[in-house]
Amino acid sequence: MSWSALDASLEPPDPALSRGRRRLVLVGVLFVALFAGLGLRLLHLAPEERTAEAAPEPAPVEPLRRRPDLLDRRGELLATDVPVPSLAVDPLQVGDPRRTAERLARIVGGIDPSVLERRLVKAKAAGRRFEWVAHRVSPAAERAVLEAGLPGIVLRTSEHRVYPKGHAAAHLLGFVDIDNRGLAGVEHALDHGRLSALRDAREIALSLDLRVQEALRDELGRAFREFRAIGACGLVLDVRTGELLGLVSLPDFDSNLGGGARPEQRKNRCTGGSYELGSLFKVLSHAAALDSGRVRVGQRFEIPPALRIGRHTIRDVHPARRPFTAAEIFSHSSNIGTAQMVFAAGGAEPLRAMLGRLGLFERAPLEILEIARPQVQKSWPDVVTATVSFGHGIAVSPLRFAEAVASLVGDGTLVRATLLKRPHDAAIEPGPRVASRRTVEDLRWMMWLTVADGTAKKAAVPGYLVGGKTGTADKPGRGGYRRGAVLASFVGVFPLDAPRYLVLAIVDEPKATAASGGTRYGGQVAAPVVGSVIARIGPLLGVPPSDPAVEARYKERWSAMRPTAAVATGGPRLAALDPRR
Amino acid sequence: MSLRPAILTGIAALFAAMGVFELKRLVHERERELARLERAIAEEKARIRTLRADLAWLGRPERLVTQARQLGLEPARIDRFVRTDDLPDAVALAFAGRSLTVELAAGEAIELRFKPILAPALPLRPSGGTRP
Repeated sequence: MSWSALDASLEPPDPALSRGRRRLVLVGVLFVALFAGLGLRLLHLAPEERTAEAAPEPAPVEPLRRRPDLLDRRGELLATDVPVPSLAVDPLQVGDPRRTAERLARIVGGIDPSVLERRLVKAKAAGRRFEWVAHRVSPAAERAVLEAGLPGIVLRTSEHRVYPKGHAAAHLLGFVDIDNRGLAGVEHALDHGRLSALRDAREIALSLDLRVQEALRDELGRAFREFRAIGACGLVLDVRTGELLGLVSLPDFDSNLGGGARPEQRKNRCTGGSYELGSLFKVLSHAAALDSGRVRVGQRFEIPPALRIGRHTIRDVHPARRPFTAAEIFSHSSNIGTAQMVFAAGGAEPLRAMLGRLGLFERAPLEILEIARPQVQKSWPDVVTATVSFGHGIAVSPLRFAEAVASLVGDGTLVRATLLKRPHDAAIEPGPRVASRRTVEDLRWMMWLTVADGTAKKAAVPGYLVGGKTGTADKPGRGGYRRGAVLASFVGVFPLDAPRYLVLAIVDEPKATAASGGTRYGGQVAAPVVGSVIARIGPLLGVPPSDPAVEARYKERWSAMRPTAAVATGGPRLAALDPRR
Repeated sequence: MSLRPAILTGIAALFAAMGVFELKRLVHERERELARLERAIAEEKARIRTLRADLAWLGRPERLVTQARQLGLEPARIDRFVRTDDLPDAVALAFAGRSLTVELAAGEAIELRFKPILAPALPLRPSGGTRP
């Protein structure tokens, strides 16, 4: 029987029949209501719950705040984050702590099963739901743990900082702790210092050039080992832009294992230490004297065997036996001559003004935080002026000194070092002028003379006009200067006809060897390092050979000023500078 | 009241409910697919990052230095720089387009070709090499 048949019946009402119909309708309505209810319930229930379930499903693989990648100036990867699994357990879900501990110890390694077991039991008793087992396990160990099918295992992926180039630029890059927080160098500065604005960048291009860095580390490391030094610092600075292309402090460490490095390895000697740089400082005091206008390059000075100032006596390592021109005072590195020059130029006042203009009394504003404060005397009586003129009684960081020399030899405007790569199209904004063009030109020439016919002949590089200044500074100790402990150094600039790069090398406490001719002078220890570095990085950086015309002009100037027959000619060496050979 | 429309409405409502149910299921499936793809993308990205780190590790200086030595490479030297002004133009033209086979220490042979330097001031010699 169908509904329509029921509906269509038009027979006279039979009370029994109509009762039956009413009941049927009632049952029908009940069924419809039931199905409708079920349908609605279905609609309401099932898909709703399942979509709600699906929402957290895309497991956040990159939930952590990544650190920016660090690149060198050519895009080489220096530091990056890599996702690495870490292993933990939920102690409440662990049924058999002993078995779990033993199996995990077998898979992961480096875990004492009995210690882990005790920890698990303790955590379980305390009702804790999370206990670390091992940070940073290998992918193979991760798979083995999953395959073991132990209950209560938690695997968490976390970011792990890696430094693919190991030792390269460890002092600049720095390192991070287990939670990826920066503890030194650029990493530290990203979290707490001047680079924190870049913390959320995807990558940061540093001014470093990995090739330069490696050449510098290689050559400096050779001197460091050969002279059994206790430390060394080397840096390469772009004289025009202030970009640091390389910075090496020895002994160094592997950034991947930064936390395990010893303090002497961690110390950044180029920026984090202040040193009395000795004769290197004559670059600055000569610049001050020449820039005062009261001293000329060709002016002659009597050089007495000893200079008495009050109770103090100043001597030269190699006493001069004739009057020196200012240029010769520089190239022969005479302490007495330099002091006399500075006094002839007006004493403390012009020297202090020059050092102040160069920023030697302040900390270098580099991006990293490991920057030493300079140590300067409060008052400048004559004896302080004299000692400062040849680099004692004032301690500055090598970086700060390099900036000062770059400012003076570049184009006479202030240069500020930076660790960030300068955009290609950025115009170079010259800083305030610190020395006149004439002083710059004189200084370049005197630095050339030092390499061509002075204390730094070992820094000469065929093809390039190299200029520089050597330093051999006594190291201060308790109650005066220590006997036999020196800082051998050399600052070089090339190519002198259009200065582009500054290379500084400092070797801390070298021991005299046969290779250095039994001496520890900067000219024997540090100048060869700078020479080799320049020979290696010059072609890499695309620096063309120097213009022979400039060298000819320099030679001419020297022969015009040179005291007749008093100095042996540098004939063969000067000839070797011809780039065509 | 007529029963038929009520019944038809009920049936239509049931079909509509089924339709909506099916639609929701499809959407849900798509969402799962999307989540799966997103996870796969994230995993691939993580892999790429790991591979980049691997690549950089393979290019670490110590390794390159050793390999360069094995390949017989030597550092660039400044005396290998030649100013183009110093080259006699005739030399440049004589070698223009010529090729030279160089055998690398690794055993591979590569072909180097001299680049012609245009020097319009000079008369071109008919025998002065072929230009590519």
